[in-house]
Amino acid sequence: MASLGDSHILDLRHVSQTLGGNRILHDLSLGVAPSEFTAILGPSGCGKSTTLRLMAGLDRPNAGTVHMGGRDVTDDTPAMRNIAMVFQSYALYPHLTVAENIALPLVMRECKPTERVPFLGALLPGARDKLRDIGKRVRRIAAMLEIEPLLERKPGALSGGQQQRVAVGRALVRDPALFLLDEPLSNLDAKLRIQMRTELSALHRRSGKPFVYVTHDQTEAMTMADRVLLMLEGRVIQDGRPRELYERPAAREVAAFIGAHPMNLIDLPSPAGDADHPLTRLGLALPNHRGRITVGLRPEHLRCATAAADGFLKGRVERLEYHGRDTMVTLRLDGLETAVDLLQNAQASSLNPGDWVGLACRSTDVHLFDAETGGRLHPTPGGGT
Amino acid sequence: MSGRFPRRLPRHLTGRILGTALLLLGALVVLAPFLWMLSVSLKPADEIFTSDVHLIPNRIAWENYVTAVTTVPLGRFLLNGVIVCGGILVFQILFTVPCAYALAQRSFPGRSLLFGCVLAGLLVPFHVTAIPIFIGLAKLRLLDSYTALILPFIGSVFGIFLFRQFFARLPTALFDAARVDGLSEAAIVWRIALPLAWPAATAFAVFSVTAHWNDLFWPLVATTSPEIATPPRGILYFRDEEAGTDLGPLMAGATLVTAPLVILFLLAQRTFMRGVASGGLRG
Repeated sequence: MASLGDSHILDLRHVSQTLGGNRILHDLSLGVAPSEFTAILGPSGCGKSTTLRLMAGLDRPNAGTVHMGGRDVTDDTPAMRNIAMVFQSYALYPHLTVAENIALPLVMRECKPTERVPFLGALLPGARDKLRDIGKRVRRIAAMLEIEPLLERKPGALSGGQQQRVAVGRALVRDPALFLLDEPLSNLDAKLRIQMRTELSALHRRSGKPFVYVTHDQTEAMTMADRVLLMLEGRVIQDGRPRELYERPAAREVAAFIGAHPMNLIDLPSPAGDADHPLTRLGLALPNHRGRITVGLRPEHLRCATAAADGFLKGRVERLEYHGRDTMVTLRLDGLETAVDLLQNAQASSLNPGDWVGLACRSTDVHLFDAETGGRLHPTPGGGT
Repeated sequence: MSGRFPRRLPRHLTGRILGTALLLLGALVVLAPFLWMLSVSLKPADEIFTSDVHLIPNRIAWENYVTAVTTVPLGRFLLNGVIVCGGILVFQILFTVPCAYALAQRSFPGRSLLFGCVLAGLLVPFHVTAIPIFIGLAKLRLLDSYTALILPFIGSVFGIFLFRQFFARLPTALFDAARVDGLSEAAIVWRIALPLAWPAATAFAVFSVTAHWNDLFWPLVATTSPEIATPPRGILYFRDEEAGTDLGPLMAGATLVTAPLVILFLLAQRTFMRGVASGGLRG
């Protein structure tokens, strides 16, 4: 779990949140490191958006505190925290032009109430200079995001991608301490999403600011983030670099969530004292574990053994799914009520439904979990007991 | 007309002609009193009470309008109407918009109950509360003043209802974005919510101004001085002053009093329709 050091830009400390009688977050603690791209990943309803709203200051936690730069900001408004947020629906003001949309946070922060009065405010001494300065900064941001020709248009006349850029511009312009992005790409079509992914990553590098990015799309989290917090049912299940989540999932739920192709999870009895157990045949042992286990195998790590009898598991080909480069082979395991997917190079594949296949795999690619708790188990090499 | 064209009109065309005719008839029924008012206002006195009905006067009697403007201070009445209706509208917007915003986009204990009270308030006619309000104003020695004409109407449950329905349909993220951008709740109401609710505001303004411009009941109850008489109250002075009712000038006065409303509606028509139908927000 994240340490609660002052080196963090923002810390949530033991926060709980209940909405309408449902406990959304329970005793959650996490920190956001400076200049890091943090993704909060999880299925819908896991509490990731609630977490983001607490960071923003849009909601106040039922229990626990929020700290920024070592100061308690639990009761501070979003503006006092100097955060910027990009919403899923972009939330642009439909009655204001693009330029006015981007300028609004600056106008609210830098102009006195009297100077903000429409038409009359601009006549006050000083206000004119301020507004000119704001206009200059708006144009600079617009140039950076390549939306300069759109500045005088209303949001309704823009495409989804253009609206997205305006929303990012409105967030950027105030030079915030922290960027919060709530599923900003989910309303874009697939092609634009990939393009914006690259742009957001570049934006993060260029600005050097911490980003917190909420998404349910693991590809977005894995490709963009320096660090991924995987949330399930209001808890952070794993907190680590994308590679760690993929290579060493801390729990069965993480293993099942991460990966382009869902991981095969096979429920097996304890390997203790069983010389013919698949684990034993793989050369792995669990000397300290009694009870049932779950074996996790990624389809892309499984191979067909040269002979059916050589594999640590044996199955019969049930279905072949052509994916272009690869073929997804679904096997019905011998003696088990489980189907297993295996990804095979389409060129090399010569299997037919009904064939018997033995499964092979490097022992380092095998993930073991406690069948009861779902926690990761650490096998020792060596077949015997 | 042979060969290519069917002898009988197609079915849907017959239906449309019938429908349009019915609508025209309806419009005629609604417009008839106004047309008659216009017609009488332009007739000389001897032409008004004849046995035969004709809409176009034989001689156009513009002098009715001259009489109307000169015998009673009609300009004053119209100005009073503007002051009273304008005052009411400004205060109504000032109070109903923040209230509707709170009911639609903020959560606080008792919100549903409060909105229920607003809905219940819609069912209470003004005449029920008129007497208590009259007594209250009397005790405050405010009767027979602009205050007496404006104060009872500065809150409007109808306005709260109309704006709340409009705000409830706006995406919550819009208001969250405004909070992130540093707008206070009051700033959100005036800078974001009200400009977006412009169609609803126009519709409400038309309803409010029409109702209070045409209101005779309350000015009759609360005021006696001719100096602060609203237009409908003022028209009554035609009847009071002359021995017999002088219908020509009376109708001329009525025409002049109705005209601002008709002009206002025609100007706001498009926005008004949008507000009532509340297709509302696009882009």
